Amino acid sequence: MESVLKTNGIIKKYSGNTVLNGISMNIHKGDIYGFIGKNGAGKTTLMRVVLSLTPKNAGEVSFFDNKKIEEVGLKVGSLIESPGLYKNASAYENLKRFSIIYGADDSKINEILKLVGLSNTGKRKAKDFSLGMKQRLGIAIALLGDPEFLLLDEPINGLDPEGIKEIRDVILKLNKEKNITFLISSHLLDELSKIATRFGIINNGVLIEEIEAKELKNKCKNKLIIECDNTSKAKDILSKLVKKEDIVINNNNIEIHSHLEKSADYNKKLVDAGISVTALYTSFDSLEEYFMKRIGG
Amino acid sequence: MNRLIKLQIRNLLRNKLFYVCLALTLITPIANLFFAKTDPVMVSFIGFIKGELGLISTIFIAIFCCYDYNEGTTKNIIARGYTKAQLFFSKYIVSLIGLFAMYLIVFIVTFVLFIKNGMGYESNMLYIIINSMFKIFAESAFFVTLAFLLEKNTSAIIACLFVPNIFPLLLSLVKTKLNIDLAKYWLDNISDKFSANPTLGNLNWTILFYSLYVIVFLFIGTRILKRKEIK
Repeated sequence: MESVLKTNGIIKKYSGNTVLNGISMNIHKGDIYGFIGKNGAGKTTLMRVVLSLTPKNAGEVSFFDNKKIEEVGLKVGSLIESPGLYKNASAYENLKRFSIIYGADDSKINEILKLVGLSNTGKRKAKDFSLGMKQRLGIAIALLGDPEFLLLDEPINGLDPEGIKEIRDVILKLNKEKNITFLISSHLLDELSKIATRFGIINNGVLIEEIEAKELKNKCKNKLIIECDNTSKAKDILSKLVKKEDIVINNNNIEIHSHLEKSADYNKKLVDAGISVTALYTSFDSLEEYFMKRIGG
Repeated sequence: MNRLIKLQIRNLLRNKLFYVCLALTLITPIANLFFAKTDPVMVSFIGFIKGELGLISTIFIAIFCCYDYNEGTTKNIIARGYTKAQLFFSKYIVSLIGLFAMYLIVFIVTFVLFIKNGMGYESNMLYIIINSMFKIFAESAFFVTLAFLLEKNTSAIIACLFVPNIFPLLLSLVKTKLNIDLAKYWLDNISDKFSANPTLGNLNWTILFYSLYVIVFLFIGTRILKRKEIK
């Protein structure tokens, strides 16, 4: 699988404090890579190191199979921390200026402005924009030059629910239609779980896990809940099929914590025993719960 | 690099304060012409103002060129594969372009006004222009380095105004304590020495020292910048 970003043993220290401790990350073409970690875990620092904004102490960064940022810079768009804008210029003028170095014509600029919902801002200066509009303008700048890889650090910060949905749709659209690869960090884990195809979990400067979204979903599938009219009788019947310690009665429901794939068998046995099963479903941990478990929170 | 220079030029031309600097610099030759035949005291005062305005323009154009550091737009450039050194040199080049454009306009206006009013110009005008050019190279390297490294407009303005005055003081101190006269090699003093006697020999000497200053300032700038984080 073609690698879009590969880091190997990245170490970054600030006055003796190690903030990135040997990060080796691999992002494949077409991924929407959700980068999660609590505040100060090292997400932004890693993105800054990858983009050469912060010098690293050790390690290697390569883009698109062993190329340096200087060689592929125009194929990499980014929005790191607060958007860097010419505050006294309009949204159009901001894009116009950056298009000089990224390369984009007027029609492309207008297309991007429309895409991020800023086409009607006219001559209004960026300094008068709301936080959400500034964020969208930052994304618009990142989209100039038709990048193949976008690094977005907290891209939905400051956006209202409608704005969040719009940005989510834009990301999904660009990923699907133009095969743009994304590295997105966000604190809004449930929001990230709606779009990410892979996840990287960072804690105290260490990348503790990289996991596919499908695999994560399986890992998060953690219990089978059965709602019925006679829980004690149901528990006795199920005890013959599942270890006793894996069956818990909670809120008058039965929870089974192992062999969740045999749900049809459990249902049949209960019904055959004359128990009325009103509901049977699998419960998932949210990404947030999984994340908290992984970092030991 | 060409694209970076184009971006910096657009940034400079979109800055209204650049035109304020240009207007202020244009006032002096016009005022000079007005008082030239009537008030010699005023002429020497205008000469002083002209020098100060020239220095202030050099400082402010350097700051205008580095202004985007304040806006956080620098990271949009570095993150797209341009090096810090390329960015730094593009700013230096554009500050020179801005200054030369400004001085060219002032020069043409002055020349036309003086010729039209039957006033002559100095025979060694070419030497004076070349000396001024190299002085601008050196001063601009100094101010762009300071402005780029300090990142904040206010601190850059303060530093650019005061640091050039601190160096002569330090060099005078060296002269007093160690009896070594290094002050004569400072930017302003090189220029003063040439102005007193604008000959080809002195011009070569000033070109050599100004060029050394350019190399030293730009070298220091790029070295420090290498270890600096881009905000």
